[in-house]
Amino acid sequence: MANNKPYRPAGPLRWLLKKLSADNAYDFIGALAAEDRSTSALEELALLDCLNSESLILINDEPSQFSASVKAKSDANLEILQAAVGRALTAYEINLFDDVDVLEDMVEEIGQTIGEHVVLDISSMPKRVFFYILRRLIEDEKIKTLVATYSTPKFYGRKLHINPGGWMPLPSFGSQFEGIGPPLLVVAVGYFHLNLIELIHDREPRSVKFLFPFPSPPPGNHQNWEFVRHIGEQVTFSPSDIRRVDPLNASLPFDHLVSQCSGHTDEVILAPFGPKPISLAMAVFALERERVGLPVSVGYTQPKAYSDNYSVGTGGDKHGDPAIHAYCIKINGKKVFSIED
Amino acid sequence: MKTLRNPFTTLYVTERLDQAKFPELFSPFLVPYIAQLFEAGNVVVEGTQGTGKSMLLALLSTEVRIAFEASNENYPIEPELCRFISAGINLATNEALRSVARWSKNNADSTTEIRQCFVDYVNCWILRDFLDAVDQLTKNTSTLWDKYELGGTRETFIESLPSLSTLPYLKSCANENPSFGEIKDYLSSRIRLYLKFFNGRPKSLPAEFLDSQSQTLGQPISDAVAILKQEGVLNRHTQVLISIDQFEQLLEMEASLPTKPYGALRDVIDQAMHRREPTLNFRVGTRPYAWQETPGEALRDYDKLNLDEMLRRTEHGNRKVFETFATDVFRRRLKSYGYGALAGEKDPIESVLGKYPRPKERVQQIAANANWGKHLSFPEGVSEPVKARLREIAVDSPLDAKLGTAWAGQNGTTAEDLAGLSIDDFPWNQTDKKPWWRKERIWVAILQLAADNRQRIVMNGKKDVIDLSGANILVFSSICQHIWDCWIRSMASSGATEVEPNMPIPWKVQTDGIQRASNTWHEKIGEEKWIGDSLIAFIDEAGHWLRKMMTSDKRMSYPGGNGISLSNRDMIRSPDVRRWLSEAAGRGYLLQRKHKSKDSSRGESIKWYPHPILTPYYELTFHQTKEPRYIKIEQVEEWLSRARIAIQRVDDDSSQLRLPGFQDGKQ
Repeated sequence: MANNKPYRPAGPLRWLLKKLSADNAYDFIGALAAEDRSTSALEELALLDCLNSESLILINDEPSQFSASVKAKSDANLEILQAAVGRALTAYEINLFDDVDVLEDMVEEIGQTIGEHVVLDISSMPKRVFFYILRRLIEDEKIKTLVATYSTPKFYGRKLHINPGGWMPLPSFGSQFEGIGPPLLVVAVGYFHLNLIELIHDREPRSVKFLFPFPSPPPGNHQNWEFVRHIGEQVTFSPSDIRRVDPLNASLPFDHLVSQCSGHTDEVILAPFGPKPISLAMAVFALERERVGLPVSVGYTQPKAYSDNYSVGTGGDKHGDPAIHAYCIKINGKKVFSIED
Repeated sequence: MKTLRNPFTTLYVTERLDQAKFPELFSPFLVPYIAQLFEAGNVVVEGTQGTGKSMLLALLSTEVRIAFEASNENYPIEPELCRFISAGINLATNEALRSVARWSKNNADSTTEIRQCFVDYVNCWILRDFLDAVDQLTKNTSTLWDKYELGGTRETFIESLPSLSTLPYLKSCANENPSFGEIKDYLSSRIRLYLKFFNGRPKSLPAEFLDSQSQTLGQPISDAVAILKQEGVLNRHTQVLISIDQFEQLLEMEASLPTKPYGALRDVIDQAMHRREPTLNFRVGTRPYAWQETPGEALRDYDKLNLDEMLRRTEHGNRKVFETFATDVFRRRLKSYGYGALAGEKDPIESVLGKYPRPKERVQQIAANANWGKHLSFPEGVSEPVKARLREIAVDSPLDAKLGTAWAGQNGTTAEDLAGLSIDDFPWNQTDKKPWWRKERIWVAILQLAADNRQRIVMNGKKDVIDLSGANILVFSSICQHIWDCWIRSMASSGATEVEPNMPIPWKVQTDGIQRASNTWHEKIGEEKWIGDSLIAFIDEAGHWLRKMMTSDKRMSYPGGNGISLSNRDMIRSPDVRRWLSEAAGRGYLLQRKHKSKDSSRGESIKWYPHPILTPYYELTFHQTKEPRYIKIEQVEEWLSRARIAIQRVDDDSSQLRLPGFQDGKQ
């Protein structure tokens, strides 16, 4: 099983859009959220005058001490977005723990409003939601151009979320096989291991491999290694099981996944606990593995609620513009990430 | 060079342990207390994390029974109780819980529909497991089948398959005269279709599939058992045991759903037991907080084995059940991992860890070269001459000096009172006049001495390790695992290779291991699903408050102040206080006891102590002496508030996690 699409266009959104057809007008799908960075991609599309429509999704966490502040910040961001696009906006409203049927209904509805060229902003979209939307957009043959975007923050807060639950597959990404040999677990290393240990106790993977974000400035770097140390108390692995990947790159982790899982015909469990671009790589890899008929599942220990200070600001590029990283997922109707059958 | 292995590397002894190792590591010590597990009737095995529920249920599995036959160990049950076949499901390790993934589908009927999928999925899994067991046992009748006269021949099983395929549940099985493999494949394909359905595709289950869904948990297995008995495959006396482990996962799933349909999944198991199906005997493993108590003892459809109670109780002559159990586990582990000589010792734990440090020795371990006099702290009101005298005493006898500070604070002692007295003559040492005063304050004195010198209290030796385990075998194994890890590291750094000359393990190494184990268990609080961050913040508030109160109580007026007591009457006012104490106790992080206070006006009360393994983390003592600290619910509400947990003084139906005694007024 090898990767046969070595060139996968990715880079700053502004640059990437210039390289794609100049006539494209994009339908935007993104989260209406409390984070500052959540507005960047849509503002950029409006500024570049290549916005066709926008579908905003307001995702309600479970009630928590953050609820009131999150709502206030989301309302403020809605005003920013309305000013950017020059019209009143409404959002689809769902709950963080809504199931696959609710997501499907929403995606079907959004599907009525979008055309051939789509930008999916995953910056502030929980994995429970963006994995499913990505699946459906990739499967939708109508869509010819699919670009995922991710904006970095200036920095992250100290407390990112509260009260994670147990390991559960992301909607539609559960295993479809059972009764086979021990799985291979690939973990994208993040800041918090949440309840990942439970999965290791329960499923007893044959081996555990890591995608480790590098470079990751301190204190994030320390937290990443603490994450690995914690897992290492439960399972043994060798240094070669840890692959360092650029946290803003989706292509390299995809290639590592292809290589790490090569020859493994039993279930591969993917644990996307790291930066979103690596989660993006895991999503497309899972869909590809599923396509070629190999068992795969993706899960997460979803926290009940995210902090109102999950991140602050939007990172900037060398010109002082927001750093919006864009990744081509489909061009001319063809998938950019694929593995051979 | 000999490699030193850690006998406690694998903490859990369950069905997931390498089957060949199970007979060697399984301690049969508890078996005499759990005979009902092997008898007819339903049994609920209840216990907090690490009490050994899964280990006991694993004993029922066919694979483990066969492993015993192949080993030198005897299966620890008398033959007349071995006439059973078991099948089961571990709810944590299969995909049954994913049935809730389609919760909101067809909103109005979602509860019914999801329960139906859950029931049918579990039935399918258990039926396949059961038929697999019969297949396995009849293929090689010399192991268990003939020995326990479980049934007829292999041929009778093969001949019964067409009859089995007439069951409504298996009617879609394509072949009218199926092989066992075809029946198994059919059940597997049914499971796979569910897994796809849980993923959202297909959007709906096919009509013919829905028609064949089983309605109640256990029904298809019961039907199959009836046919197998009728056809002579199973003997009449052969019991069928259905084990369902990790029942608490159902509560976690209910809690994960937006509508919080508490009970929707757990009721399924309850109803199955209520049916009192004569051919099936359920064995349910659960943590205490998840089990829904049947109202009224007489209506119970099951026996309950409470492992926490069982392990904490003492027997004739104060022989502690847990200590004996732990010793057996310890010995087996050592023997299995190549420490045969130590395993053969009369008391292997004591050989490895030593007894325990006496109080004065413990004080020296805390800070051997401390200037005790300089750092000695005093309660208010102690005169300077008395302070000076006690500082002198502290140079050689810091513990006596510390006790003296409290005594002086309580009694207004003067310098003249102490003049010319030897240590044994100090009033706080006169046990004939005040027999309990000193004994009750030894631990708080040691704690305060450590605090005065900015040191941690030191714990090591067999007695400390057993006490810190709090009657929980997983905690015990975890402490041993950390101590052993530290010991292996210290051996490596010193270049030593011989085991016996380096025993008992040095106290510093033990203390380090115990501290690490405590930190690990503290981290576990934060890993509790859906409530971990809130629960750890709450328990931290309580733990730090207790520490502050104990170290600032210079008169040592509350030597039992490492625990709290609330009156039942007071707790009625705050469901949130009840809920969060219940969450902590149900998960084993607080130990809870009913008690009556000296002050009769308080009425019935409940007291709580941090689990002993958490006390090194919070720098507390674990000894439960004298009265706990009496507090009001406002104090607990303050901890909750500081933990950013919303409080309201109204009934809260979402609080499902019960505390025995809160629901029906008795503990």
